Amino acid sequence: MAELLEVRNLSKRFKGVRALQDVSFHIRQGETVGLIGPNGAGKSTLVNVLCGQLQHDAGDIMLEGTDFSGMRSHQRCHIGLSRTYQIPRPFPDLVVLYNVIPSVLCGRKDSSPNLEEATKEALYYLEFVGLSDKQHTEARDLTIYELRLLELARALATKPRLLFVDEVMAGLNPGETDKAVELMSSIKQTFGVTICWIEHVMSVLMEAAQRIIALDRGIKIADGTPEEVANDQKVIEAYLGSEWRQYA
Amino acid sequence: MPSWKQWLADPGNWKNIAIFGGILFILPIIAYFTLPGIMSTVITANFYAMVGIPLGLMTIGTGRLNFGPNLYIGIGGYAAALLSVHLGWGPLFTFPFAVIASVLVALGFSPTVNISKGLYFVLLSLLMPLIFLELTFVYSNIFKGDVGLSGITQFIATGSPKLNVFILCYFSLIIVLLYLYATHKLINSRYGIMMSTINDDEEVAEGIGIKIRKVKILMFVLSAGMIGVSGWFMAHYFGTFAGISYLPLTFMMKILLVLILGGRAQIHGCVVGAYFIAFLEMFLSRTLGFVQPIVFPVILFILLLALPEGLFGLFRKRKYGEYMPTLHVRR
Repeated sequence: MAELLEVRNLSKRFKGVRALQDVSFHIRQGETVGLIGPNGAGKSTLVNVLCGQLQHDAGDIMLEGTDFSGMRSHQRCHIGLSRTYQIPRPFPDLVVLYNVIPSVLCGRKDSSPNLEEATKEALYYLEFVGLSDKQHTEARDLTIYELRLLELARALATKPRLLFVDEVMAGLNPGETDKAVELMSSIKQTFGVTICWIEHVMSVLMEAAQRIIALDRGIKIADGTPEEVANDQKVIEAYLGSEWRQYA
Repeated sequence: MPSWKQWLADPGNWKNIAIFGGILFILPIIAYFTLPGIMSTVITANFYAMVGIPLGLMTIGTGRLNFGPNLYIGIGGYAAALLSVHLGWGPLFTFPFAVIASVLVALGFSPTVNISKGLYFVLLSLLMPLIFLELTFVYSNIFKGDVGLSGITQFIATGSPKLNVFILCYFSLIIVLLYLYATHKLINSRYGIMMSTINDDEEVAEGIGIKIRKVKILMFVLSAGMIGVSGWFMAHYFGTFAGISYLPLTFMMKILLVLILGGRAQIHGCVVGAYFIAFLEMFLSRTLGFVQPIVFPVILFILLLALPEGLFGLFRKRKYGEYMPTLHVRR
């Protein structure tokens, strides 16, 4: 598989705090890569930097060999990077359908559909995630599960090559979690999109991801198959603390 | 067949256009034959709407509330006045220059919609008309200070002042309806949808590929040009133009109230707000005399608290399938 995203020595500081420190990794075309780490590890900061919501301090970020560090976030979307948010950020005053139409209208540089075509296409994505019956509901009235689905529909409507999914399972009940896992798998099958999936629910990533990258306090501590990472000493310590053995 | 409640809630429905358009068209005729004094109030209301509608568009298109829209009234008005006084030009010739002057000033100020927001944008926009007002005093040889420029060519001179005002009622109304039509079309176009996402969350909007900087600057400049037309209109309506009438805080507050009381920057609500404020002001000044400056703001204050969705929100409920972006007011 060819490399899609390459990150080299990426660093980001917030005043005195080093949120990311010399982080390097790559993601191959068609892969599903899990991104794990305890709270404050820098996972969301990494996605924010890659999608252009934050500017990094040092390092290189390349998509298929092209450096995109100087691009604004709309340009990054046009080259194929899209994301969902850990805390859903819908357009609350707009109905569900109008939350997705702008992604169809503006998400790609090479096509410029008219409003009618964009509406049809937006409906397709809503149907795909299972929200078509809520198309006329204002986004502010959706449940957390529906908001997560809306985030996915909005991100997919930009036709991404690399989709960052930020904790899609957070706040869902077991039934909803199962449905979301199924949906993620059908996204992969239908659109063939490369996925970078931030998640705390390890059991989900163990099944869905081909590879897992672990971060702790802004440093990459592991990168390998789910089994390798789950058994990695540094990862276990990051989650349980260095003195976990004495309580085991 | 939609019920009356449904079609009344839809500003684009032909019945609403017919009813409200009809009322606005009949009002000057009634005034002409019964109370001619009201005609000038109608023109004032149309002038407020000429400022309110573009300000609503600017608010939604930039996701920011501009506290100094009256700057562009001043720019448009002085551009028209100076050209008319010094070169003897009529309204037809001064029009493009009033618009261009407003657009150019807005273009110079437009980077602020990208580099500032919240309180900073409010302060920056608030200061601009006040600085311009000071300039009209400092360079009183050009702007004639608080006396203003006089001798501007007026729109029409039929020989009957009553007939002049009657015709101008319709002329100003046509401008308002054109603004309303164009803005309604724009808000319901692909650009309107982009604007409403910027109004909701500009960071997310940019993340889904919208060129937010371009859209914000475009809407800011376009709206400023439209507000500039209102200055041009007032200069040629009165034949005199003084910045002191439009640039101070008191006038600006009135325009913001048109916007908020009408329907939180909802463009159709701006017309309702403009007529309400113009007629309330006229009614109170005729009935209460010197107490009016106290009672007028008190009534507006109560209404602001009592009507969070504005006057337009009183009868309009959100209709699924359409959207009418409004200003986000944190109460």
